[in-house]
Amino acid sequence: MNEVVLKTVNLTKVYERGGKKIHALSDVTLQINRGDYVAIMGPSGSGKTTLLNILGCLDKPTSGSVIIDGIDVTKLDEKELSEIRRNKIGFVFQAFNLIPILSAIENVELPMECAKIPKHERRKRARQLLNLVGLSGRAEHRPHELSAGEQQRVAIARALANKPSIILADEPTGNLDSKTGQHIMKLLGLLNYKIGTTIIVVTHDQKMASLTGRILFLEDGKLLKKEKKGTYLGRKE
Amino acid sequence: MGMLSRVFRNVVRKKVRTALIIVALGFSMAILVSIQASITANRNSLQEMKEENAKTLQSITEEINRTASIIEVLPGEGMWGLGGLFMNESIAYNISSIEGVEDVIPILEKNVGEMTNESTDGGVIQYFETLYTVKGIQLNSSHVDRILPTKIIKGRNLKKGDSGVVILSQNLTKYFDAGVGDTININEIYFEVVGVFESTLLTNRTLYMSLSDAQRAFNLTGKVSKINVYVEDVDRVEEIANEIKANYGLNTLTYLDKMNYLLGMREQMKEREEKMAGYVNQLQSIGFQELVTTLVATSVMVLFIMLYTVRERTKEIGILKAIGFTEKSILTQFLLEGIVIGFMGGVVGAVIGGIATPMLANILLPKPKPITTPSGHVISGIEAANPIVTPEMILLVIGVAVLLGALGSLYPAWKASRKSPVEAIRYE
Repeated sequence: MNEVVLKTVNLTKVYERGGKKIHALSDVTLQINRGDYVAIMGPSGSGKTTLLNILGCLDKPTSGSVIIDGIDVTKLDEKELSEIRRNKIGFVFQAFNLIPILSAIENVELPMECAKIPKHERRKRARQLLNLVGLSGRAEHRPHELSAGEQQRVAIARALANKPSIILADEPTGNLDSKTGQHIMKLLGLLNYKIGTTIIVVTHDQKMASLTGRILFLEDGKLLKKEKKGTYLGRKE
Repeated sequence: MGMLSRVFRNVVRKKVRTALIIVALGFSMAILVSIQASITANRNSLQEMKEENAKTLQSITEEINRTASIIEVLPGEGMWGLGGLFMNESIAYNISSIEGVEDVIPILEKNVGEMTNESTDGGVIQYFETLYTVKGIQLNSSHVDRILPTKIIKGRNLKKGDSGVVILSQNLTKYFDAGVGDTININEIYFEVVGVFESTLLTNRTLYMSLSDAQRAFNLTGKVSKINVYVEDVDRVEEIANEIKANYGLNTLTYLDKMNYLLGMREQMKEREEKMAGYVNQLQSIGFQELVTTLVATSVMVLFIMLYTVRERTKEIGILKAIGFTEKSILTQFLLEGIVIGFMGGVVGAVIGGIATPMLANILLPKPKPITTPSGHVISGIEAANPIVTPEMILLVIGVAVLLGALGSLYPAWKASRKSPVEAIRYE
């Protein structure tokens, strides 16, 4: 029996722009199981990023609910949301979003500092994570000294820092060339395989989406009924 | 990698911001130091002036009261009889026979000093610089105790029949480098020091000896410079003084004369005090205006620089929020940055202030204006006191700078941390 790690019920997000209401998301209901490697695909403007931001507690829905590990996060206050973001979710952004003044290893340590993990433990775990993403030799480099692919690996290591239930990646290959993009998608698959972290990737790239295990389609803010299987076979239970 | 080390790294990394704020804060804090130092110094100086004046007036008043029943008889010309004019000692004995006169003490008072030249704008001025004053007193008089000093510190006082001995004010023991038992040389005549008395404002540089010794020392046999006339009834002082004036053609100085002199002196002192107080008030109001202007300008500047740099870092704030940092911890980090920069600015300000205070005070604050007669002659001037930088001022400026740094960073950081993470991350 598969355990549900993330569920949305009738998720709707409406923006007002120039007096006009724009439905970024309409009644999105979906369910993701623990350990899944899922892609959400759709053309630009389909509401992918809005959905991901709401799933990651960075944005609030107009109506509907988001349940992460059994907690309805739409009912939480800002402080509780910080806690969810800190402990349950790891974010990977298209633009990497590393802190420029910090070295690779310090960037990875940052979420752990926030979770009040002791210093020596932080350092040890950050090294392990950099090792895992294949960057053990670049720990002391600053973001601007790393290639785009390397920066995204650091971002992935940072996302894994507090052993989150879910990693949410927003166009993680968007700023990378195709080959590096594929490496990143495969790395995410590998991490899913090795650690079992649930990974949700938002992309508009068919090729990248196909490297996950399950592909959902979003169009005009609505989740389509059709669903596809990717080439990733997942973990052996 | 803790918050503090991140704070310091940001402070160092954002060099332009840090430098701008430190310069702005440093400059205004230096102004704060100099204005404060100048006002404090002048206020202290006013206080000292008042205390000193009060002390002087008090000791003169005491002296006048003590000598209320005394008429000082002086040679015909010159208010104080110190102009080198002398009377015959015998006049004293004539005066003693006037009805109502209880006693007379003939005194020979001579200032010993040297001529000094001082060049001024108007040429070289020669003046007599008094080194010490010799008071020769007729020790046989019954009222002699009322003239001799009362507080003997070492040795003994002068007594009837003394000859070849002196008593020195404590202050003069240093000048003569002599104490009880030593001898001092006055005009090649040697005197033994038999006592030392406590110096007062009026007897600071005075030594006492017998009248005949003084006459011998200054080669003024039979001459006196002053006769103290003791009147039985205080109410008859003016009457007897008039009689002396009429009969002997001499000048007299009575209680009333001295009180009038004191009043004049008090008026002058008061005028100077008021002038100084006015100057301190002027300093305070101008200093306060300048200070408020500077602080407001600096606060606005710090706020804008902080606003600009925090805006620049809105994205970073969004990332920190996405990672799980709370608003409070983000705010704390930016606040600490503001405090650290403020502290640095305060230290720089204190250092500049410490070094440049006299110069800054000179530029920023007005000078006291001298009191002049309608024709433009300076009657009496007051001088601006040298500014004093105290440790309290250093602490004050560092405190103010830290406060400005904190306030300057608090608002923009609070504004940025209130943004939704999505909005903040998208911010470019």
